[in-house]
Amino acid sequence: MVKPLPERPFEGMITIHSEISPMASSEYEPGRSSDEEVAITRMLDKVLKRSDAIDKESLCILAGQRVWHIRLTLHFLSDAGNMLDCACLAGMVALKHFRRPDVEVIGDEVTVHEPTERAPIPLAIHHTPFCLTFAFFPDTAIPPVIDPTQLEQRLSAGLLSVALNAQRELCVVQKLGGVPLDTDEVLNIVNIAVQKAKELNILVDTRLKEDWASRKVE
Amino acid sequence: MSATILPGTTVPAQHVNLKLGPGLLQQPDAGEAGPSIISTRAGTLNHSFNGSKWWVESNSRRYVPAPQESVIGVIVQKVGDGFRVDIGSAHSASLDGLAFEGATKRNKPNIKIGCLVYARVSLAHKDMEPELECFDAQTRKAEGFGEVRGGFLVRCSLRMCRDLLDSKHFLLPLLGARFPLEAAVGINGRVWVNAKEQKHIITISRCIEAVDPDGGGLDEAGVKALLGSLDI
Repeated sequence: MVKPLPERPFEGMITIHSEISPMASSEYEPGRSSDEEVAITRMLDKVLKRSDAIDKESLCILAGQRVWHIRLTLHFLSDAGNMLDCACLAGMVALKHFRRPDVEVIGDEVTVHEPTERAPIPLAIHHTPFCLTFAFFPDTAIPPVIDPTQLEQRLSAGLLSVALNAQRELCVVQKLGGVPLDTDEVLNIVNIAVQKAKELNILVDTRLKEDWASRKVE
Repeated sequence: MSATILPGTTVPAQHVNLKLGPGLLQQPDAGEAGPSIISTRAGTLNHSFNGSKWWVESNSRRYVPAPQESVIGVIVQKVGDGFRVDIGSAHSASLDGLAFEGATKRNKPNIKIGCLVYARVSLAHKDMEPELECFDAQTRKAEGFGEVRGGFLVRCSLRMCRDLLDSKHFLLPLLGARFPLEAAVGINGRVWVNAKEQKHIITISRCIEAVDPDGGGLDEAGVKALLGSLDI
């Protein structure tokens, strides 16, 4: 719980920390930001914070004095290609899964209830964006590949990342250089991405429900 | 003769000339009967027939360097007289410019950044940078070590590399009977393969990934079926 920013006294804060350590692959060095790391950090920022996936106003406890500050840390264990999609998915699922302590405000007094006293409550999530990456190759006869592996990513001429939710709303479209594309191709890709996002949505919801059912909450 | 074991389990290994292989550690603290042996990895516990050699067979993808092991490395930097090589371990290894057969101060090998080398780990301690050499320890001749050109690098798990180095394993002779190939197996999870045609190289790479215990663990019949379905 922290003091909010003076220009936004009604909103909580979310910070995302995603540094790629050499554990992911021996190409990454600690301290030095590779291009991929910068791209992932910026994309995560756009997809998770600026798309308003989390309702920041629900994180407010006492306007102008106390708000929740959520810190999301991503550890990259192994680079098998397409870490961006994985990072977005992991971050989104972590935020959906998280439960914060219940807070009671009487006048100016703030009481934070322990998770053992009162059941913790989930964050208010407006929508669930998923990120999907397509790789294009210099030989235009090869169709774009979704979710490229390490080798495919290395050999690709360009990547197109599309972040959208299951309600067919586009959050972010990011194209990192490379092969020029027709409008038809881009629309086609967005349609495929919508299908995949719907599948992912069902998967995430089922798993979260299973996990919730296996926990004892009174 | 083999049982599945978890890290931290005490191992009943007793022998006059006890030799501990990978995955076992001797704890010098005084238990009921002197030093105890515990396992540090999860895997199958094996021992030799007379109980003098004990080891744990496990699989992993991260390489921990040990001396006298042959590895394949990628040159990442030229440092003074030598090179910095990435062998997949926690630290980059150093390869001296003179550690090649027939290298003198005037005649150093000119290897570019990004090239592959097949080298032998000469020094490996837990907290230090490992050191590599490109000649055999006893004969001081190349014996296959040195820069490798062309071909393709396949990554696999460590158990797969150990299996490929075993002369009784089926995969490389099976593929070699179909088309000529060259292979250098590094024990750090990397295999360099080369063949005359691109589709042969791709075939070898796909077969290695299929037979890898991490990626399916196909047996000989499965590989033959896979080869039948590919166009070679």
